[in-house]
Amino acid sequence: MQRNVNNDTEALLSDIAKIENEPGYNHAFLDEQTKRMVRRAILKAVAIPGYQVPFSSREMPMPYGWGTGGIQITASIIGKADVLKVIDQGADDTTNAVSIRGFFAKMAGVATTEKTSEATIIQTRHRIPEDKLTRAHTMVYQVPVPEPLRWVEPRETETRKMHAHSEYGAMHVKLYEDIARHGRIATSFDYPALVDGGYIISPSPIPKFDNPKLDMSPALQLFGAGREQRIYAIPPYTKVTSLDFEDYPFEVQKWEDCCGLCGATTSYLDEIILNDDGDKMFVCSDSDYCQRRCEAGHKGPFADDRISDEQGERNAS
Amino acid sequence: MRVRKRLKQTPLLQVQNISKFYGDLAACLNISLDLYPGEILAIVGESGSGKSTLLNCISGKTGINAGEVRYRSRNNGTIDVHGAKEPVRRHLARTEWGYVHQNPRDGLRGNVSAGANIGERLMGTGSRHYGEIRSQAEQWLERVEIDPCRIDHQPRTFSGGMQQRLQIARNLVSGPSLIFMDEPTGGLDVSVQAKLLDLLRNITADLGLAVVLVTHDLGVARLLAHRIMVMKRGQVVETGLTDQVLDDPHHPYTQLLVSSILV
Amino acid sequence: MIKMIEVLGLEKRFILHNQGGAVIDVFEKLNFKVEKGQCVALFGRSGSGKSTLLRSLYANYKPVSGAVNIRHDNEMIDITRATPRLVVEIRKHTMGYVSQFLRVIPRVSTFDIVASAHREVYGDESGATLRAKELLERLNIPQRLWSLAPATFSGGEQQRVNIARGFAVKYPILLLDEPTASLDAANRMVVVELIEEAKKEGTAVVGIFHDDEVREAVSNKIVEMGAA
Repeated sequence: MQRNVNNDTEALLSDIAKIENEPGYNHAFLDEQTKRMVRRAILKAVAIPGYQVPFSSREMPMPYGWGTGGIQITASIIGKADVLKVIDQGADDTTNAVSIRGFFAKMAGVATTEKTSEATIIQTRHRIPEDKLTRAHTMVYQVPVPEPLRWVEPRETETRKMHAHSEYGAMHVKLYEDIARHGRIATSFDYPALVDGGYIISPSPIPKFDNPKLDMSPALQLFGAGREQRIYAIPPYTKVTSLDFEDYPFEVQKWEDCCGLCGATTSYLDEIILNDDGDKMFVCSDSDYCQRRCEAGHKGPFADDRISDEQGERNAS
Repeated sequence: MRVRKRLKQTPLLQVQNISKFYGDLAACLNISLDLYPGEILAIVGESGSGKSTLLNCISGKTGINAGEVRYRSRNNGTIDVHGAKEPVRRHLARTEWGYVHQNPRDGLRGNVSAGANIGERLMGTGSRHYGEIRSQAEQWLERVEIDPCRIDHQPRTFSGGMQQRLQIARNLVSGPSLIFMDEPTGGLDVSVQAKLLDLLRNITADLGLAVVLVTHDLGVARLLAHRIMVMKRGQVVETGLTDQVLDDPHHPYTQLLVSSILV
Repeated sequence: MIKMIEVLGLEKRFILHNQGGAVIDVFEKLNFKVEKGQCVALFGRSGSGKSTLLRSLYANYKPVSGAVNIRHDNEMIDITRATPRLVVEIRKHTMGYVSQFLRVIPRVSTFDIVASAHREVYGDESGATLRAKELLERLNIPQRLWSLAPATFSGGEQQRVNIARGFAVKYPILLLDEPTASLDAANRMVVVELIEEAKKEGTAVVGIFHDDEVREAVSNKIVEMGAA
């Protein structure tokens, strides 16, 4: 056993030696003291599931709202052996995802991937991958507004007390208001959830479709809000309950259509307008998932159309 | 015998020698009072006499420098309001107590509907059935003479009198035993004031609510309160039955107050 | 005979602090008692302290010294020393008071004023309605006024509403401050009847009656005021 480990470690070290990060910068951009501070906040967040831990957020080379919280968490936990996947709106090929991946490839010298199964750290905005996460994954969520009570109570001093004393009546006020206005709970993303029966969190702007994936997930889930300077976490295998009413139970979005490209019926779909006549199709928002299904021979109603050609070009580039 | 037995009850609220200082200034000095279930006590005095500070000290919103406030709760025995931990106090404040602010905007959530405003206390104590919460909200709207068809409207579309009545409904939905009121008729027209007073009088009598009412309006005190406390410079100068204090005032300050009323 | 009210060494004086500390002595060393079913009339010239005495019996005014013992729940209680809560209880169940002027909450209808007085004590809706109807009819308040608030009524009408409210509850003790002052002869007689009925039922009455005829008709005993 001992020999094997040593061999593995040696192999690893020689791998790492091959990859160099940008000269003149510390590994993963942040200095070691900052990483230490962020890691301490992460440890505290993991120890108190759902509790928003303040941390002294740093200036990052990108504007607030572009994922500065997520980046700082990733930078603090990423090792040379990690493989990073970044998704934005479910896709690996959007500007934000590509830039953040590029940033870490350069600054940490890590391998990046678009495949969920290959990744060890997945930084995300708006989605959780369709593939089942494992213990090998760490999810890093970019959070714009970490305070789920902000909408009903603008005072931070008051919301902190409400969390401390589990005074969560106001959170249901929001859902009540939804039903009163729309006849159902119309909140479709950033849907509040109770972590381990303790704190209510904002799960970041993921669709409520993904809320059930938060529950008892084998992956460690970390949430970072750069502008608001908060970090919180859901440890692996933690109970996460979405709030609801007895007579209006929690429900996820459903679609009558399947994915136009891969024919998936159980994934989260984006609507795409095809032309000025308003024709539309639905495609998986998780581009990696969709592509692998296509490669495996699954076909949706639009699979052979022009759109799929474009998709092919896009993937090739 | 029935009457005597009732009189033997222990007080709902006992305030013993409380004082509150701001530096050298005594905002409240050595004030004691007992309040029994169903009793309405008015605290009167001119602005700056310390009546609002006293209300905040009694309700635990402001800390005190000396003395004790004890509240006999329904299920948890007698609670030392200032000695208790904050969650206990906050729990009381949204279950067995109510607080009606002079400005309804301080006591309402402006960005949610009337129904949600009323329902919040129910949801805060574990009510998770939308239909039931809503039907209770409708009943309370009716009770405070607001057309239930306005249940989904935001309070900012309501008139001042309606907002005040909504604030009262929001407080009463949890079935409190004790309500604190700070100038509840303060900013209202005379005609609207009369309607509100009438409503308050009926509701407090029907529900057997104990009320500590702060007002500078002796007319309001006369209409609503069983007892009255007259404050001046942080001290109680005269106390007793409302009509006794107002019709036969003994202290010079009370005499001045009473003689200053028009009409 | 059962003693309902016992006044012992009662003394009342006003000190007007804002008018140079002027002292007004109203009465001193007053002693009298009222028994069950008896009517005592307070008699004296204007300003002799009749109303002040009546208000002192009701604990509306605070005497300087002496005692006013009231039979409440078969116990004599000195109302001048009773706690505010006890006074409220005594006023609710034992002692009624009909003042000269009607003082009510604006907006409340005439019928409700009378019925609610009954309802608050007995908690009986149909009984309250019956009693209110009976009294308003006997006191000749036209039915079309019943649903209106009495603020705009004539002086005589307001006084009759006030009397109806006072008699709505059958108190063991009833205090009347010039109940017939602005009434015509027919209505005065109705009030005399009401007082006589109450006495028969055992109510002890103390009253100020301006009208000699009424006073002679109802009173068993006269307490003379301002004689000194």
